[in-house]
Amino acid sequence: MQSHNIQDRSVSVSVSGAGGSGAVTAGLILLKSMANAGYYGYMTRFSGPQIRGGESAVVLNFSDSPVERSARSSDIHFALDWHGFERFSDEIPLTSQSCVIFDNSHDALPDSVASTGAKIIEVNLKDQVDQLEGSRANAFAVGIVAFRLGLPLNAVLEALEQILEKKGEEIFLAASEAVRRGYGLLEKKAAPLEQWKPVSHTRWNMSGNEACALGALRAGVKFAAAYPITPASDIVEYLAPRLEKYGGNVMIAEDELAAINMAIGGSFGGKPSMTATSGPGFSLMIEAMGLAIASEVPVLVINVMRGGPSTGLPTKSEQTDLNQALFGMHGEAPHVVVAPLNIADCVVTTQWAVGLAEHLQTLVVLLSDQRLGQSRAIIDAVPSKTFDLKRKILEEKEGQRSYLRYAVSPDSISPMAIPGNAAGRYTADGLEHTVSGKPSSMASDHLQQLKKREAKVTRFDYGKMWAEACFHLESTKIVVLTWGSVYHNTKAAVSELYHDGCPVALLALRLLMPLQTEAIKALCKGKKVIVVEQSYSGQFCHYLKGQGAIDASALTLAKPGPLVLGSDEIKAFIKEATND
Amino acid sequence: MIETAGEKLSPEAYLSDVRPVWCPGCGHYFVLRALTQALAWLKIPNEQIGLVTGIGCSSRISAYVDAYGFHGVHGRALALGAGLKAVRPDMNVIVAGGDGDGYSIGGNHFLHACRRNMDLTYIVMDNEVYGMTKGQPSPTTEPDWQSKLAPEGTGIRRFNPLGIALASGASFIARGSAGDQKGLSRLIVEAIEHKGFSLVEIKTPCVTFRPEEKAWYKSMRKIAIEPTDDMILAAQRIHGSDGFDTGIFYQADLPVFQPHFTEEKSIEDFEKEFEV
Ligand SMILES: Cc1ncc(C[n+]2csc(CCOP(=O)(O)OP(=O)(O)O)c2C)c(N)n1
Ligand code: SF4
Ligand SMILES: [Mg+2]
Repeated sequence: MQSHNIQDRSVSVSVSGAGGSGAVTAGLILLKSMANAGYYGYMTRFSGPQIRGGESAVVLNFSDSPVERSARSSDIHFALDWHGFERFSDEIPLTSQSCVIFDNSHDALPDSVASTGAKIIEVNLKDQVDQLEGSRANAFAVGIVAFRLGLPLNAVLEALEQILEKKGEEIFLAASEAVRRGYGLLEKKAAPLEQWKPVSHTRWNMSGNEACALGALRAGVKFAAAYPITPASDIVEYLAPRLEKYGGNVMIAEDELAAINMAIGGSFGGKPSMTATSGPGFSLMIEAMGLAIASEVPVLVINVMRGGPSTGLPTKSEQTDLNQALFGMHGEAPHVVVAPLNIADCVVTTQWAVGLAEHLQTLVVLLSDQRLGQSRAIIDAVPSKTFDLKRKILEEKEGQRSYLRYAVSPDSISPMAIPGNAAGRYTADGLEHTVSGKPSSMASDHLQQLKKREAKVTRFDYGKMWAEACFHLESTKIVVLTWGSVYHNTKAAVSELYHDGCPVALLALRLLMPLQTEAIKALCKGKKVIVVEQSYSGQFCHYLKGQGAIDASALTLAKPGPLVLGSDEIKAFIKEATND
Repeated sequence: MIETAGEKLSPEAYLSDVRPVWCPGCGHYFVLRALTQALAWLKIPNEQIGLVTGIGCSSRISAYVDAYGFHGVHGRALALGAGLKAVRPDMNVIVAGGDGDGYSIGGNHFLHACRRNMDLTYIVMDNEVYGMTKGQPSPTTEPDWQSKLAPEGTGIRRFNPLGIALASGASFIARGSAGDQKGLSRLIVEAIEHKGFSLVEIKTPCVTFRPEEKAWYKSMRKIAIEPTDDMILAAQRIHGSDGFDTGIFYQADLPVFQPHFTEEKSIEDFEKEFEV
């Protein structure tokens, strides 16, 4: 059981501006500055529909303890200009408690902002930029916000140096002077950070996609093939320059049909292999995912979900590829589906996923999503973990020629021969086959191999990794079930209720398939069950009910993307559901 | 070049114990024979051969050769083979399949395999029909061939695999005939020995759905085309041929794609990058 961590010391900041105004860079600098000063932070970014040059915004939440979700509203919002700001009204909620600072050398304050009752501070950054050659408004904004927060100047300058390292001395000098000037621009106010306790241990600045990629490296992935797609591209972009210096390589595939088949080929060749994609690419990969299952070739497919169907919401988050990941393949295709719960968990769960694929010689799908993948946070370093999950490989023995690739062993996992081993020549086949791999459409062979493929996946002991349980599940009256990126806000909601005396606990699944039905059933028996998920139709809830893990009386809070399922909303739902 | 020194290997040394499901007289048998002959001449250890195929009568060949085989899904063999070659440059990767598998459903992979020019050998058993699904027109079928699916013929121009391979960057382009065993075995040897992507397009009659193709055994000319690395000349030969010429139409020394890797970093190096 995990202990609750109340984040009473936190502050939220957002920055917005037209494309090229540097709102995102300002966010990255602030996040890094906070880290340098000994704090934690979480950053999400939003952009308008334009490919390049459209308006963009960052929303940051800082604390002196780990934080991985956005605040309800912005304490400080800095508008570099008001270009397209109305697009972010949902993502950047302003209230009468907010302080809005804006550069008045562009558009006037929009009525929608004035009407929130937020405290408004105007600055003229054009004058400032004109007076300092080579400077940009966003650096002044960073200085202003840092000062308001009570963030030490040297922490910001250090971050600036790290981020602008490659841009050259001149740019760095101008930016640091602008930050300094911004820092002295507004009058002194009580700064939130004065009350905080900094930490001194090493932390990581990492996005969910980077975390998945690191997990794959830790697990020993040596080959990745992919075709670019938002929001999954960063995974392979991270891997490409690193894998080739780590005994592996990345192939740019001509499409996702190729990507998954290349990965299967790489794995057949003996190297742990993967691909990463999002909805449309995932759909294209489905046929070959079935091939990996039938031919028993280990492969990891990461799906960083976005809103669908079709091209859907390419840059926005949703948990709606669940049904497809579970049941998308034709025929009966037992495999494994896992989902990380937060950024640190992306490292661990991806490592686990690769291990499962290798050990069970099958397809593992890892479902992340845009929110998890593209958010960045300052987190505690993720300790390395060892899973004793390795591919069972046929030994090289001279003269031996009686290899049965698909032999039925007690654990249903048969040693895999790696090309080059004279003792183990065989043909991997997507056609149904006999124990030797010879194509066969006989009922007995089909049944035998169906059972083998199912048994190795369902009889395996997944240990404690299958779920995260928070607050006393055994003794509680209400169980909230969730998965994926919704975990953080759900946990926050449950935590608040729990600390208010409500008998509620949380169960967040990491292993979605094979569903640990009996375990879930035991934990939920006789309790009120509430399922929280980011979908319109309640896919997760239907799945749990369909498998008999929870009763038909369970309630669902299902909300489609792209809006975040906020902790207040979740809390209100649980409250209402439990009052009647 | 064909190795003659030492003990001779028989083509049977490369046959698995799985019996082909092909119709009696199917042209694909000759390809199996020519391929195993070529492997025997080259004396490649069985376990160093990766034979990757898609789906179709022709694609069944991966089960019939005693090697590391992969019988994957329809049209994707070139991608799977590329993945295998990427991680195992030591393996002799041979990809094989039919005209439907390679030029229709797998057409995009064909283009990109040519331009990637990895060191792969691609054997296409072109019978100008979808044999396995019982006689539908393929991309290489003539426009007026009448079938159930296209009673009046497709009316669509034929795909020109050699021309497309040349335009796409393949560095070895040959056509062979199932009827010329020795010539075909030689072509396959040359293709395997060539460094880069080698296309061997083989005319193999489908005796069941296109019995008239048996005439190919007479009409296909024995190897007369000599290799050139001149693209213009190659294009003239490819586009000037009536389709019955065999030989190597183009062979050039072009950059071969093979992902490289080193072991200079450790996982700790990567973790350090995240540190603050
Ligand atoms: C995705 C998919 N679509 C369709 C099929 C059905 N199918 C199997 S083989 C084949 C055509 C094979 O033709 P070709 O590659 O020319 O091989 P041949 O049988 O002529 O040797 C088709 C359409 C399939 N197996 N998979
Ligand atoms: S249908 Fe045609 S291609 Fe298929 S095995 Fe029979 S003869 Fe050969
Ligand atoms: Mg054919």
